[in-house]
Parts: sequence; structure tokens; C-alpha cells
Amino acid sequence: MNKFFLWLLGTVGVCVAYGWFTYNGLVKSNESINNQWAQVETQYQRRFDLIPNLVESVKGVMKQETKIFDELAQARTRYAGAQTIDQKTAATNQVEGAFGRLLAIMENYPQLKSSENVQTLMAQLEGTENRISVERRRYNDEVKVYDIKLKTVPTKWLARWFGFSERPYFEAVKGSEQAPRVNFAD
Amino acid sequence: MFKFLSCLLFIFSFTLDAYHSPGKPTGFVNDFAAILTEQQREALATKLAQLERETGVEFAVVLIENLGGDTIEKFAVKLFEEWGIGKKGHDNGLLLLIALADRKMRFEVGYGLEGVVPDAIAYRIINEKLKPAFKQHDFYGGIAEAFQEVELLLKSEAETPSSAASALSWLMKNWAILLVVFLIVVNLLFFIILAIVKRTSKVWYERLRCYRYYFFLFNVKRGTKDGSGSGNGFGGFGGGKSGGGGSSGGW
Repeated sequence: MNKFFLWLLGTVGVCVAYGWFTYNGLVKSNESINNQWAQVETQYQRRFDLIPNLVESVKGVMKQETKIFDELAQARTRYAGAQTIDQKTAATNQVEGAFGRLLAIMENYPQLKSSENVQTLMAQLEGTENRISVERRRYNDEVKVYDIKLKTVPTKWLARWFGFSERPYFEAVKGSEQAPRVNFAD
Repeated sequence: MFKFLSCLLFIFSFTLDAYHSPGKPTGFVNDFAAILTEQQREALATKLAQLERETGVEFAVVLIENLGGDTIEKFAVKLFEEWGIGKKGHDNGLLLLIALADRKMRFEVGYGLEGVVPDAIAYRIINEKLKPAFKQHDFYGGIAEAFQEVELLLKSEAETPSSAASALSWLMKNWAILLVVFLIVVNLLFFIILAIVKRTSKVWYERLRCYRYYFFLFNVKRGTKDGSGSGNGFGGFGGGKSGGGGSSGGW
């Protein structure tokens, strides 16, 4: 009887310890996803701070292209009002689309290429786009670690019980996985 | 089941990037494409090691044959990640990656140096120093000029850490020496006390004497691995990170 009790106690103890570590591991993993998403948003913000500067410096030359500037401004307000990750992603996708078009249109204005100011801004924006793609990839890597934990046995059963749910991957719109490129120098 | 499989496929699509590691770093200059002569490599390595000693910045120059289908931006950030260029916590690493067959280059800047080497500066260095030289196939000349530019930037904005922080970092660096000094002092004290006690009380002397072995057990074998800071020896990079800052270009 005594021995049985000891066994029971031991088993329960091991189970509790296992649950403990699993729970903490999931919390940690979840937090590092949040942290990584914050990194992505920092870079989004950087992009939004840079785009108006670029717009200001090319507006003078690109007088007729008001439509694209409107689009960019709209996307920007949408992002500012976005609350959830999904809304933010939708708004950023819109910005990305509009920004890509702006770059394409800019190619028609060769006089912009010689402007030192525009060149510097473009280098900064290119860098920002690249940073965004790097931080997004790292975000996906974090999500991958977490989701694999969540989908493998026995964590799978425990996680549901603890109330953890899958986190979504960041899926870029087709064509925007690659940072937009400007061919000014060549 | 299907969902599971598609998920697996999705995950694989992430890991199945074209990046392939060029190998372990052998120093600050890693010429996997065998473009530089022995002297050029030595000259660069000496400069880069000196920069590391003076500013703590780890500047890696890497020449590879080709990117294997990857983009230079992705390749650079992954190589940076793999090697951990720059000191951990400071993230003060720089990577100049040159892919010969692709005629592409990238100047990747660690998180900690994004303020000192902003993208626009990196872009300027690439366009004004590297590109013209590389067009003439003068790889060494271009890299050396870029290095000069970077050195100037780093030295003019050299970090002057606060005295408390620098004292702490000095402690962190020299803890092994401090420990040894501490142990020597403690050992000496013990034997001095023992000598005094020997003259005064025989009983206490015997009691204390049996502890003398403890004071030799601490005969720590100090690791001779000193990594950075000693001569031109290269002990690997410090584990720094980058976040895609910098600039790229072609020639």
C-alpha cells in the first residue's frame, strides 16, 4: 500500500513537472513571437516615416501622378488605424503595392536619378524594405518553432488544455517577398 | 492528415532556401573565391584585426564564387547569422560580401552599427569606392578603400562607454586574471597566518594545517584560449546579429 502510494506520488510529480515545463516553454515561445512581431512593426514604422520624405522630394517632378500619391497616403492612414495583425498586414500590403508602382513610375523620370536627395532616400528605403523582409523571416522562424511544438504529441494535448492556439505565419502578397529594387545606379 | 502534410511542406519551403554555407570563418578575410593574393589577404587581415582591437568592431570580408541562386541580401543576412559577426550584445559587426560570378556585393551592417553606418553611407561606399574599383577588377584596391572609409567613420564616432560600464566590461574581460590574483592573495594570507600560528599555538597550528591542501586545490588551470585581442590570432566571431541593414549593389 505504502509502495503504491509512493509510485502514485512519483507519477503525479513527474506529470506536474512536465506540464510545468511545457507551459513555460510555450509561454516563452509565444512571447518571442510577439517580440519578433514588434521588430517587424518597428521596421514598418521606419518605412512609413521615410515614404513621405521621398514623396515630398519627387512630387515636384512628378506633378501629374497624383493618383499614386493619394493611394500611398490612404494606405498610410489605414495602417495608422489598424488594430490587429491582420489589419496591419492588409494595410502594409496595400502600401507595398502602391510603393512598388511609385518606383515603377519613377523610372520614367530620369531626371530623378541624378538627384542626390532622391538617391539617398532610395538607399534608405531599400535598406528598410530589406530589414522588413529579414524581420518577417525571423518572425516566421519563431512561429515555426512554436507551431511545431504545438502540433507535436504530447504537447499538442497539453497545449489545447492550457488554451494555446496556433499562430499564423506571415504570408507576403505574391511578388512582394522580394524587396523592391530601384535601378538608379546603372 | 492532408493538412498536416501541407503544413510540413510549407515549413520545408522555408528551410529549402538556396543559401548554402561557404564554410567556417578562418579570419576576418575569407576568400573562398581565391581572388586575392597571399600578401593582399595578409595586409587586409592585419588592418581588420587592428580595427577590432581598437574599436571592438568585427569587420568580415567574404569573397565567394557565386550565390547559388539566392539573392545577395538573403545570403548576407544568413551568413551574418551563421557566423555571428560582431560582439554579442553589441552587435557591432560588419560584413562585406562579394559574389564574383554574380557580380554582386553587399555591405551588411550589424544592429549596433546602423547608426554609425546608415544605409545611405553604405550605399555611397559601394557606389563610389567599390563599384569603380571592381569594374577594373581591382578587388583589393576597392576593399582597402572601403575599409579606410569605414575606419574613419568608426573612429570619429567611436563609442565612449560610461566609466561604470567600461569598468564592468573590464571586469568581464579580466575576470580570470582577477580570480587568479584573488586566489594567490588568499593562499598567501593562509600561509602567513599559518606561520604566525605555528609560533604561538601548537594545537591551533595542527588544526589549521590540515586545511592547507584546500589552498592548493584551487590551482586553476587557466584557459589559454583568449580569442580576441591577442595578436593576430583569430578566435571566431563574437555572436553579433544584423537585421538587414546596409546596402547592396552590382558592378
